[in-house]
Amino acid sequence: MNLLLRSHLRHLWRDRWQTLLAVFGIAIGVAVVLAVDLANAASREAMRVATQQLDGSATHAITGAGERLAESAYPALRLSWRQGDERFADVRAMAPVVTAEVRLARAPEEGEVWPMQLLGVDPVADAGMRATVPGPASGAAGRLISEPGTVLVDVASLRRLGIDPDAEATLWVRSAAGIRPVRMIASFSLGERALGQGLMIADIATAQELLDRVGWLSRIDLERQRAAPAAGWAVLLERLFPGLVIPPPASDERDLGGGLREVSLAEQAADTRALAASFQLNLAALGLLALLVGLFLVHGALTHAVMRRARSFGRLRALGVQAAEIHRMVLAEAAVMGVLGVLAGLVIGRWLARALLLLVAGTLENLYGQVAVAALAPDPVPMVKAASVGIMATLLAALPAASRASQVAPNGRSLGVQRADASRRAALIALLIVAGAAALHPRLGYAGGLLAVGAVLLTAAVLTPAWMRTCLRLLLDVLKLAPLQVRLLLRDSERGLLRSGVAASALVIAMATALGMGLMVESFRSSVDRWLDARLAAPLHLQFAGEHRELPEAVADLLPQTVRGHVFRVTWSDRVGGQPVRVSRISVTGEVPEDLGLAMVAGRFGPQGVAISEPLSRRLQKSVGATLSLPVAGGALELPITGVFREYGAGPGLILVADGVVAPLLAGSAALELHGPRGDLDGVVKALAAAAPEGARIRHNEELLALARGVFDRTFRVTSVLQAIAGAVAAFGLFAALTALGLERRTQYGVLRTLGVDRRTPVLQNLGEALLLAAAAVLLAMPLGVGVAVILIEVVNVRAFGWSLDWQFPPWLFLQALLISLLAGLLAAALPAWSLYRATPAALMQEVRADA
Amino acid sequence: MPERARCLLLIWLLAAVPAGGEGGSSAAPPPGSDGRPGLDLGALIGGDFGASADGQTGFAVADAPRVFVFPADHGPHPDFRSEWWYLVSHLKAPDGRDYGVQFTLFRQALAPEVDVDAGDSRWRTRQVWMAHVAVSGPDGVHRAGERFARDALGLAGVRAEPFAAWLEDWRLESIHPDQFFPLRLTAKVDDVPRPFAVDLVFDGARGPILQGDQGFSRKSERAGNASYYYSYTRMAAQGQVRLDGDEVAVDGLGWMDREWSTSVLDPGQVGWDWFALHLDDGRDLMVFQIRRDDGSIDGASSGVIVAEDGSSEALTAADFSLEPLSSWQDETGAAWPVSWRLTVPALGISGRVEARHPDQLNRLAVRYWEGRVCLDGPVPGCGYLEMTGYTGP
Repeated sequence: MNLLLRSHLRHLWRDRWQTLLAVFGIAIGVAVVLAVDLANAASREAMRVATQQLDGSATHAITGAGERLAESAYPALRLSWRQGDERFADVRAMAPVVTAEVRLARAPEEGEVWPMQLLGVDPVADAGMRATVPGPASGAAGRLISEPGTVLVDVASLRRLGIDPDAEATLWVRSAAGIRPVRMIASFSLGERALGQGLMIADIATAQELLDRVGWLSRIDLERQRAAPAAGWAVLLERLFPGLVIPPPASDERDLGGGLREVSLAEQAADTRALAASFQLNLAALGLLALLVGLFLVHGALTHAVMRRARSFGRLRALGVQAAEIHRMVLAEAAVMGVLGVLAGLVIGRWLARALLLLVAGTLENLYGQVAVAALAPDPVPMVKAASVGIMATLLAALPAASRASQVAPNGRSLGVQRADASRRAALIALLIVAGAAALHPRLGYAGGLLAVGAVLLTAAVLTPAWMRTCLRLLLDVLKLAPLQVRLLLRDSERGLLRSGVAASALVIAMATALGMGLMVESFRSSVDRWLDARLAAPLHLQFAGEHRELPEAVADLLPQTVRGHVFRVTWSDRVGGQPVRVSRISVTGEVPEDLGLAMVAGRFGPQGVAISEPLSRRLQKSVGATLSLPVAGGALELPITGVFREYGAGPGLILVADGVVAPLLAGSAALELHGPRGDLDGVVKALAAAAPEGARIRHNEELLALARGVFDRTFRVTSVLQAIAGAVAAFGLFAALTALGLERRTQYGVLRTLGVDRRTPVLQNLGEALLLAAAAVLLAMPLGVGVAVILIEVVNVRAFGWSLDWQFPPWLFLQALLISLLAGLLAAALPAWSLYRATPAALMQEVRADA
Repeated sequence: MPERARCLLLIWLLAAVPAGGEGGSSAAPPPGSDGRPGLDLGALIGGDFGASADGQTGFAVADAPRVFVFPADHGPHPDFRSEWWYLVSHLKAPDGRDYGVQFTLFRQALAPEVDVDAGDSRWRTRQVWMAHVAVSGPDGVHRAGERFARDALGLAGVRAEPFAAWLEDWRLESIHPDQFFPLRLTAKVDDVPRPFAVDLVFDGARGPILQGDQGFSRKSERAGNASYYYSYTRMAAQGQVRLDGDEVAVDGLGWMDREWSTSVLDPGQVGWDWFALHLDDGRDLMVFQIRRDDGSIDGASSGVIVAEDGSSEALTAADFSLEPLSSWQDETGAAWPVSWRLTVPALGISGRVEARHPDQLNRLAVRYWEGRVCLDGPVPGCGYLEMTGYTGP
């Protein structure tokens, strides 16, 4: 066997625990990267499948203001298409759609409900457009058309509600129009990957009647020949780079006159993907962070191995082995670790992905109201991606160790290592600072912000060993008169830094991340709390069933005697500047909070223009003073933006328009905020309940606050999990490093013990060193964590979601970081310490001989 | 012939499910098509084979002769399960090249009644319409198109007076508001790879010829297995046909059938061969045979002979014979007999009936052969042949 290879294998075996720890570090990193990617891929796939099921082969859609149009437009458009209208020259099919989000329940009263998309179609016109719609000649289509109130429901949703999918059943549909019974006449399967949101198919007549939308369509779907399917490379790029959304080529939204416009469904899908992309990128960044922490383990393990083998490398050089060969050998060693780590990581990753998926799916549903998936797709791309990232990163992490090894002189000494290291480190830090600053350039968007966070963390990692050394030296200076054991501890710790420093770096990265994200989440939470308190300041909220244009008269008559002021909103969905929006027409009466209790970022809510939400303002790149083109029945209104207000939802943007600005009035879901109740609140509720039309729901603000807070808490659950994983990897790294140190020092302690030092001293030294390291790490992590939070709050959040936040510095967060670090250090040192405590001096000395 | 269009409709219903229509992607299997009664296609037509004869479906049943009232009976009879307006014509261009045009509008009721109180959506209906247009021209050119629409928002329908039958912009309608004839047929078929169009006027009609017993046409021994049925067997046709970019002036003869019923074919009947010929001596002959799955010819096969003066005489299965002579095989392997020996001894009619072109197959949601034929014999003539139920191996 080749001499090099034998030497190589022998060392790997001798350091097998070390090797194993490094492999495990890579495995965890790769696993988290893969799990995040798989979960992201699955949710993306779910969105694609859901879009496919809803849109089928339709490529464009005709709609009007408020995402609706009068049904009379349909036969007219259809006839002009048939008669050769140029605008529809390449249209292959045209089909009307009435659709809305509804909830399905077994019984009319409150109980378990399941979110569904109700898709009302004409099976005759739809023939072949959507795979889920039964063919016009099928019995199911016949019954859907001729029997009012009949629906088809997907099997998974039925199972979720415990309904036998093979038997007809009466179910209840809850929509804006109220609670109505439907007859489920058959079920269908959406494939193995069940969607979070179900699909219910009804005839268009049934859908109109269920939703109180008689006379209206949601849109008319067109299948155009010229619409090219998404390019393969674009799809692949989107899969490789989370956060990337490649929009389809040129926008071809066109005005058809009469308030109708045609939009590209591919563009709408890209907009929808873009909403989720920033969240997915944040997750991916967290995944990479876990990998980064893992890499420090590899780096540490290899550096240590190289140092231990300096003499052996010297001998090899003396025997004529080239420096380049040694360089290659160390890299090969790293590659072996990398491959083993990647293989293990892929297995763990798939398992982890399953757990993560539910969290990701839940968050996406909460944040964006998007469908999410409950099962992983068999997709090789994330696996290949995670594997390549893992191997490449391992080799990169091994480069410093490899060059150090190749610089060993034949006499076994390193050549100028210290100097080179110091100057290289300085250069690296300078490079990182420049890169981080450059990444903050506004054109790089939120991805640049995440890169900057990465640069800060890497700088921290590079700085850590020097920081540790400085801390220890300072302590030595201060504690000159301390007992011998203490000084011994400090000196030993300093000497051990070459290997423990890397672990400390990992800990600093993890703690800084945890702290930064903690600060961001806390700031977010308190901002949301304050915003919700203001938004939901009215003690009572009334939601009407069905669609309205005006405040129902019976309620309007009652209001002057019951409350001091009220705000009535009619809300509908639309698209403005390609962005999905919810438009609310606001009418204010009596005493209500200034600016409706909105937290204004700029300007005011005024009677002449519109106020828009902050995220929408950023997405449209329009603020106070700019004009906004608002679709209304029969055309569009150019309205000035008078105010921008805070809004912490990532879904459609919000547009508030004062009553009187929009005419003719569009119908929409209607809600009433009641301010300053006169007299007893319960009395007001009773009076309103009696006057309100059927299906209206009156709620206290406490109830709404609890609901809203629940949503935000769920949103951050996935973030906390990934944060915890990164922390765990770091703690593990510290553990690994200290264990290795402990093993190494056994011989040293053997000598000490033989000289008569009691068995407690080495144990205390070990524990003390761990605590010292952890404390020093957390001291560095604190300012860095604040730095990370600054970038997250001021750059990433603003650019990705359009949210501005109020800063919060809860002291407990810092205390928690300190305690967790110390605990991690103690835990990490406990095992080696215990082992030392149990060992006899003779046994330790035996190890000394063996080592020699 | 009485069963012809009914069978076509049935086959539409049966065939469209697996075929899913030619233009679109294959339709998903109908949800719940797991054989449970009441949920799949069988539910729609399953009750047909028997139950309808006993009047249990809730549809009106043709069970006795009735008095035909025109123009009201040109309009729809929505209480019957199905109904059709069927028109064929064989035409010649001034240069002698010959053309054929077919137009059929089907109405199918999905249910005997609909709960109109359930809501007030204008889309609510129980009627669905299907239309076929086909043109065959010289050099074996044959084009066909189809459309479907529900009976809502004026997308498709038939009005008795002034008469109009339409599906979107395909229309067959009276030119004058106060009289049925002349009729104008306009249809542009643009949604096929090679578009075509027809614009024809039909006038000088012979009829209405009430088929069977004063328009009450029995289909089998079962009571209620019958239809109401009348025809215009000879109309002068004139107009334009646009085919492959050529707009050609044409004239010739047309044939129109009107029929509505609720009962359907016997399950053992697999298809039929229907001949409608305008004889050169001025008479019009229609004969058809229903083929059974055991290869025999059904006793319900029959026909009619219409004299120049419009008087008609029914023919029974015993009065004529049809013998296939040679076949044309389509791409699926199905062999369609395109050459026949026709004999009606009592009328002195005999000879070979040859398709003008072998491939006049309508490759639509339903595959059937519908095309021009000519009779070569002592009394020659030309007309249309319709064949259904021939399948590949």
